[in-house]
Amino acid sequence: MTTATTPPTPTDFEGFGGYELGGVYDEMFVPGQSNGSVEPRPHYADVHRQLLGLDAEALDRRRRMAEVSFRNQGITFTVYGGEEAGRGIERTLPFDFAPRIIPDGEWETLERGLKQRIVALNLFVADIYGKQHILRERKIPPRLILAAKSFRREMLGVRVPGNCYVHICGSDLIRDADGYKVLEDNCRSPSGVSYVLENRAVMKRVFPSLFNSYRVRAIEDYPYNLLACLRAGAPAGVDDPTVVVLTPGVFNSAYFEHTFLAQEMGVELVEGRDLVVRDNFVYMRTVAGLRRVDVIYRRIDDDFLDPLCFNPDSALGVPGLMNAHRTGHVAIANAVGAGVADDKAVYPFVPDMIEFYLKQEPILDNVPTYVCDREDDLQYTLEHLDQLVVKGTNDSGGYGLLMGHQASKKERDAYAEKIKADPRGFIAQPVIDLSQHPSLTADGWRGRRIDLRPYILTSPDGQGGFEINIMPGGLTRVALRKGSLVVNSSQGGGSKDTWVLEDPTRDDLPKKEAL
Amino acid sequence: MSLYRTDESPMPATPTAARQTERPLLARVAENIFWTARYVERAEHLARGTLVTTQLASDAGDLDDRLRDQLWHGLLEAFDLVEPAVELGETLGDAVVRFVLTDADNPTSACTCVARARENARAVRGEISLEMWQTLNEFYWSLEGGGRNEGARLILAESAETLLQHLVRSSMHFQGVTDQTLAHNRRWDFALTGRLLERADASCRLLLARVELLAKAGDSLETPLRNIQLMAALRMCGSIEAYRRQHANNLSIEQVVGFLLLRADHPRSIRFAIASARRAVARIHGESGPGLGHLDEAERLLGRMATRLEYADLSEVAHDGGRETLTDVRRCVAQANAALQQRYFAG
Repeated sequence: MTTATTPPTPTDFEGFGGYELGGVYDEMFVPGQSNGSVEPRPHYADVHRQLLGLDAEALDRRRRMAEVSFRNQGITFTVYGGEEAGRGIERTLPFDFAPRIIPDGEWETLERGLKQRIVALNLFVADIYGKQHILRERKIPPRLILAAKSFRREMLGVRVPGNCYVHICGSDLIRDADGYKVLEDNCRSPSGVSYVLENRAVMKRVFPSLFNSYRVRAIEDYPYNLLACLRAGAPAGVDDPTVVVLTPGVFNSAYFEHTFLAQEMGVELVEGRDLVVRDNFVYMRTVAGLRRVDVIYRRIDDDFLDPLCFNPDSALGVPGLMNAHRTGHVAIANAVGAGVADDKAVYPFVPDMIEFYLKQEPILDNVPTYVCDREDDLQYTLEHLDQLVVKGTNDSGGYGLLMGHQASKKERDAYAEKIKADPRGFIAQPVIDLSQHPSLTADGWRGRRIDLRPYILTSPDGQGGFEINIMPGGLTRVALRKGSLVVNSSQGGGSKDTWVLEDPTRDDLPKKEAL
Repeated sequence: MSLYRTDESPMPATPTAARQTERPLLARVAENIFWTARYVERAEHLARGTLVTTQLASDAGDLDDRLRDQLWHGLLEAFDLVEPAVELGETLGDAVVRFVLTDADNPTSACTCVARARENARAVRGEISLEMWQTLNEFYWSLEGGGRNEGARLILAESAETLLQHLVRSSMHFQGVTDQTLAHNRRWDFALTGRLLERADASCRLLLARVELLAKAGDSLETPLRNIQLMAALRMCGSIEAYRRQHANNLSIEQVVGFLLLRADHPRSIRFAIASARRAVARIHGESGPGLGHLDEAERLLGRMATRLEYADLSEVAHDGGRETLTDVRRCVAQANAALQQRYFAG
């Protein structure tokens, strides 16, 4: 295994000289008085001033400190398809240390919008595996759901604790000139939260003065909240549930995160072969014999969970796990079949779900989406391929995308054939001008496109509703290549620390002095 | 009865007799910790064996090519390795050093052992101390460099001695960190057992190779050369100083074999390793719950060997240069390993 070379380091530059707004929304800057100059937004003033005071060498020193710290701690992910067949390449996630700052008011709206959305998504999944009201009333075409790969027939009629299906959700938000929009909801196993916590830890170590000049809301309690969320989702009647994290194993790209979360929560990290099902109860194999498991935070896709039920060739799963889940003897987070809520072809209907289940107006907008399964949308998509981003509904991680405006005619034609062969398999969206944020590049500070993935924890509140906890901030991913709109780590993206500022007037937040 | 559990139906008790308050230890985790320790110890013995052979070869250099090649073959045989291809312009010694230390395709090279140790540790990094993981991870990257042990090859190109010292010290560093940061419970006992079984086995291998070499040379070997071989045996087992303190200049095969096999208080002696491993296995057995019953097989095997070494008579052990006892210790280690595998790791 090898580590990728670090991004090129700037050798000589002065402040923010040569920084361009390029006509997109910039998180830090607005146009200045004189032609071509830039001025920081008020909440960025301190960061701007302090970054200005650091020359190339000082910045580079900090960058190397961060890099070595990540590598020595083994904070890496694995990229597949590289030169070493089968093994993947071990990489550190490039850390971009100009922090992204979200003012409290802005965050408050996002938080409300996300809560509304996650409640609707949970009600939707419960409905789909229950009475299917939303399909009966034709708010969503039944065919779209019932034919979806993410729809798990095995879950029909199964009751999960508290009707909670999506315990951990990572919704991807983007911002353009009109404001924030939800790009997608990740209702299966959203990853990246360990980077959020590690980025913060590194930021505090490498840039203490920068960090201390703001009142940044703490995120370090995430593992506690996650454990509380998982425990709250335990089968009824278990008062001291045993929680485990289920990982595909050391070669999985997010393995570091699995081990990190298990460790931070103080629970066992298990692989499929560590678990065994007897009489529809799940046990782990310990050196002292079998021990019962009540809650599984799984980081394995549905398909690989149980070879008896799904993919029979899977060596990652646990034979019999589905029956233990169906009989209510073990809780699985997120529940099997929850992926039906983040199917890319279902995504356009989330605003309808909010109206249907909550009788509310959606607070957060969706990105306009063409579902190729619909005749009109398919037609439009094929005619406007050069202006659209097309995604496979079953792809994730930025694999298999077509960026129409950047692709060649040949690539577009080839892609059109794929769409025509399987319209249900594709959606299309207009190219969104993601907002940009200053990143340290080989030429000094330059604007690079970013998105935001907040982490939303949902658990039954014991009274038929949900308790929701959202980490303030989340993972800001950066498209480190100039002009690129793809932020996925597998596609050369990096990440940065994200600060949500404390609202001094809110008294339900812990005070910094008290921590 | 309904397929779905209602709130009233009782949960079955955990099948083990004792519901432990202590955190459970997964069978796989125990196995990974055991092998992490074994591989690090193996890397250290490979390095020390090579280091001493390098020194021996340079001593023997102006005497006899055949004897020198014998030394290198002895090292390869000790670790059951085939002779590597000698590249143009290389001596056999250079090829062996390269092969034993940095060859990425040799499953028993020191670098491969460190990589394996790290793979095992990575699979349980939440179960060992952060310091252990970081120490081992840094050790690994210092050898791996940009890929295929580039780091180790660069150090080797500078000086073999530096690389060898680096391997030995980093291994000991990791063991010290293990002892000082990991709680001394079952996890540590599995690490300790892995380390000690490997130490006993590798010491037997290295010692047997010396004994065979001396036997082959017979009376033709002059006393100074014989002494050098005996000192090499002590060095390879990290015991030269301890031996000198005990026996001053009395260097005989009986004394050397006796010291390495039977010494009670020397942490590098085979008896010490077997006896400590036995205690560790006994603790694991004791803590893993009374529900399992019977005497533990690994404990029985190690206990019997520990007693044999404890009550052994020097002349009895040394009459054949220790060959019989050393071979028996190796068999005992292999059987104990298999017993642990079956009892604890198979889950």
